[in-house]
Amino acid sequence: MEDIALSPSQIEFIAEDTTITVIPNFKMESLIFLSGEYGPFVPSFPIDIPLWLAISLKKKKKCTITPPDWMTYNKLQSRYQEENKINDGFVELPENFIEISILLLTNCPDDIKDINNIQRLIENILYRRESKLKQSFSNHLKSLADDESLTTMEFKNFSMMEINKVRPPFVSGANKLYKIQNSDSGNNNNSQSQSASNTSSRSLFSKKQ
Amino acid sequence: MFTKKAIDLIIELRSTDSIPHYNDGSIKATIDEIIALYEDLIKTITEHKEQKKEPYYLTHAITFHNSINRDKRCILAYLNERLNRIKEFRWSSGQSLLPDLLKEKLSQNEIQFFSDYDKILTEYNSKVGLDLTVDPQPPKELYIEVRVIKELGEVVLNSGCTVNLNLNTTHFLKRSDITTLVKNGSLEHIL
Amino acid sequence: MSYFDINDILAEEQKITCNFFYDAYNLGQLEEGSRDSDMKKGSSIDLPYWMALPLAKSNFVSVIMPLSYQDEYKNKLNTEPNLISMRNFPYYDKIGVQLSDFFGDRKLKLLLFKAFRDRFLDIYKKSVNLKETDISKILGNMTYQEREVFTYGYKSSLEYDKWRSRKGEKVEKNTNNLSISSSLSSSSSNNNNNNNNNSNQNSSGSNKSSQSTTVKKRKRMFDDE
Repeated sequence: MEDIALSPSQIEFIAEDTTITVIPNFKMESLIFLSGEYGPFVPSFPIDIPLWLAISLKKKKKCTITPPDWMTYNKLQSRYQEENKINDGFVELPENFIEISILLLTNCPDDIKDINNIQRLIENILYRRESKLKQSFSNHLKSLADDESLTTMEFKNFSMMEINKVRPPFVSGANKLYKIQNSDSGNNNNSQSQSASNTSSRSLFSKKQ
Repeated sequence: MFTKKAIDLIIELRSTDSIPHYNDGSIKATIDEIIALYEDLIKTITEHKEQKKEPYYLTHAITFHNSINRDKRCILAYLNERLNRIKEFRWSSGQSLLPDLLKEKLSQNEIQFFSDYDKILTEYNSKVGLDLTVDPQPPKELYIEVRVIKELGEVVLNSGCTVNLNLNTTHFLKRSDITTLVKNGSLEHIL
Repeated sequence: MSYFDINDILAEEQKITCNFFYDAYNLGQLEEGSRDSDMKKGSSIDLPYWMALPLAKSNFVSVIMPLSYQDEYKNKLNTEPNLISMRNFPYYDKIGVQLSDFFGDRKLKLLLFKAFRDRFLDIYKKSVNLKETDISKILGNMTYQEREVFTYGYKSSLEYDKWRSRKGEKVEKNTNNLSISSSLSSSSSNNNNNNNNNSNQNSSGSNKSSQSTTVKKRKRMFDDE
């Protein structure tokens, strides 16, 4: 599994590097990390810091988080309507909108205006996108000629989380289809050395992720 | 029919995701079969040197030769798959020692393999200064709360501190210190 | 077919009826219950694919396509690919591809390709929609190749749900090798002490029960800094 996709928590980890605006309620010198310098923190002065730091501060009640622009009711509502309108493809949303919105909804519900509606809208958008994915996958397969293989599928504006969720079954299925079509087997049964190196590397690579 | 025992070995592996008992009997039987097939093959070829290209003998040679290769392939695949699962165990459990019940299932060579493999991994981990088996997924908290579900008594942790891990007590500890204990079921992570 | 793959090995056990063109020295033993030491010319016998292949290539036997790859089954697969159960043919697609090369049957390969493609969609949908239900019955109707696709979809959607419900952060008991972890729970406590050696620090091993209820709270990361 790990061979071909990132896990949801790994993607969340990546998303936590997104910068976000917080309003601290404490005074502190700059924090210096390998990834950069954040601060100094002055009460009531908005400052941009990475999401992971923001959430960590929020958990200690040291700041309020300002949700990103796109995470407001109006913006999400219009995205949702657009998502419903187009049947081919997906509307554009930030690369990590799923992870960010879920992190914010769970960690700072009191900083989000209209939280119930926003939560519902995000659920709806995700649901709509997922059913569109299934539909376009099915259309794509049905549109193929009898002997045409599944090579590429294009998902425009598909987020990292969504891609990684469908990648394992898609890639595995597409590979098997390719093998059925391009087997010129039967003749060389003993590709020993090649497959030997494959098997031994397999279990190693799956761990390094 | 030839290769019956060899195929049984493979079926045994397919039927489970864990590591079944090392089937010494079937392996030996398969090796004996290989020897018998080989001797028969050589004997036939040498005894009928003149006629060995006739279909009457060639069919025999092809069948025996392929059966020998088949037996060999099954044994190698059996051993290889078991080694993969043993490595998998080392990674997923994070343990340097084999639990007795698993140890019973392995052959002497496999036990040796595990300890050699462990040595390499442990050495690498200590040189890098990071136990790679501990957090395959990004950890959220540096410290976690755990409940002891198996009496361990006084334990010195990696980071040097000593704790009394007595039954049913809860502790707030460094995650990397105790992940192994959680994985083997001695502690339970409380969210 | 990969040399070490256990499913590839088992797929090649597919029986194929072979007809011997010649007498064969000392091969009577291939036929169960046969008393002759030699295989007689004209004998018809089921041999596994891996053995039939080299014999057929050298023109010592003629081979017949297995029943499950003949018209009746193929027609069903062609018209209702999603309704067919592969319970009795777990390697239908895998060995079928080999057979189509073996017999020079291009049509069979095309059929297998189409059937897999059609079933793929169905399998994908099932794999992401079914949660927590007993999957063994569904898996039983698939070939091993299909099971792999299903498991990928199933696992990744389970993982996603687990993440959504914020359970992903929990450190869990290792269930990777089921029998191993269950064996652990029944092993002696002595064993647990050994496990701790891994951290190069021997547990003292003495089970002092005093101070047993002390709850050690440690400072959080942030206050430390």
